[in-house]
Amino acid sequence: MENNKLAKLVQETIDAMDGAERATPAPFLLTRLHARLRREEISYWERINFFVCRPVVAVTAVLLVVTLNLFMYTYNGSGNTSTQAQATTLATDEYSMINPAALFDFENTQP
Amino acid sequence: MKQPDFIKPINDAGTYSFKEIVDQWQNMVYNTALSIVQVEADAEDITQDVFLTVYEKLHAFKGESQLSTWIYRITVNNALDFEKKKKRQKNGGLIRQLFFMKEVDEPVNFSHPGVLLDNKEKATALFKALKKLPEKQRVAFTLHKIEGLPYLEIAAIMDTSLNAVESLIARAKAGLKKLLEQFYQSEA
Repeated sequence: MENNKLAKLVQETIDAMDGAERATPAPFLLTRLHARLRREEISYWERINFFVCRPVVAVTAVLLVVTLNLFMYTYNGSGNTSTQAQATTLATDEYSMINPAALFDFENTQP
Repeated sequence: MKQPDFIKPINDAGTYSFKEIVDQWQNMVYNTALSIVQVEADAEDITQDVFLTVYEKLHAFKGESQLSTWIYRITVNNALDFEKKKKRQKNGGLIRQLFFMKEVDEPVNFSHPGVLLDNKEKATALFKALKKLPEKQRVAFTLHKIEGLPYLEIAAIMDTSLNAVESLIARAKAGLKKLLEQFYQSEA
């Protein structure tokens, strides 16, 4: 091919997109975006649900609850007396359970 | 279930509604994505990804650049990432690339739907050659020649200087000339 002819052809090729129209996406893009947003939201909750329902997670959660219960039961059973006494003292302090007669001032009888 | 509201303004300034943005910029986003990836289905996916990104991040858009520049930037980045991801999947991972035969990524014939009928063949040859250019040159050339953007806006989109854009486009044209000469000589 002649050099001039080739150079012209190359230049025409480089300029081939001059005057071309913009390509347009398929119609109803907004609707498809809407659907995709909903789908992503659903899949998020599905993922959480899937994780929680896994046997390993469920069994671990049950074991944890049982262990905590056993621990609390054992702990409360051993220190029962002292806890009660401490609770009574705290209630007395909190509600000022003292003799009401001590509150009257006998020297100032006027209201 | 809560429905996303596409009508109400979604940025802090209350200027843009998502519906308006999609209506106004969908062709621009799709055309840019299509020119980069050269596959219509992929360009559709990228367009959706771009608008979902815009939907999620528009409230943080402070208007430091033009909205179109910001959307162009997201489009270009998404398209390039998509292309890299696809290439990785095609090549089947690093180990295969290192130890086995490396696949030659031969561009397929792409015909842009907006091109004039007389220029169809030339446009196909142009897109084939474009695929072989380095990434930055390809983006700069695409934004200038196909989207018709001025150098200044391309510089803002690519986050580079005006001189760099001029240089990228000049090198892209030189590279294309070389590739197209080889192509036409092999055809003859």
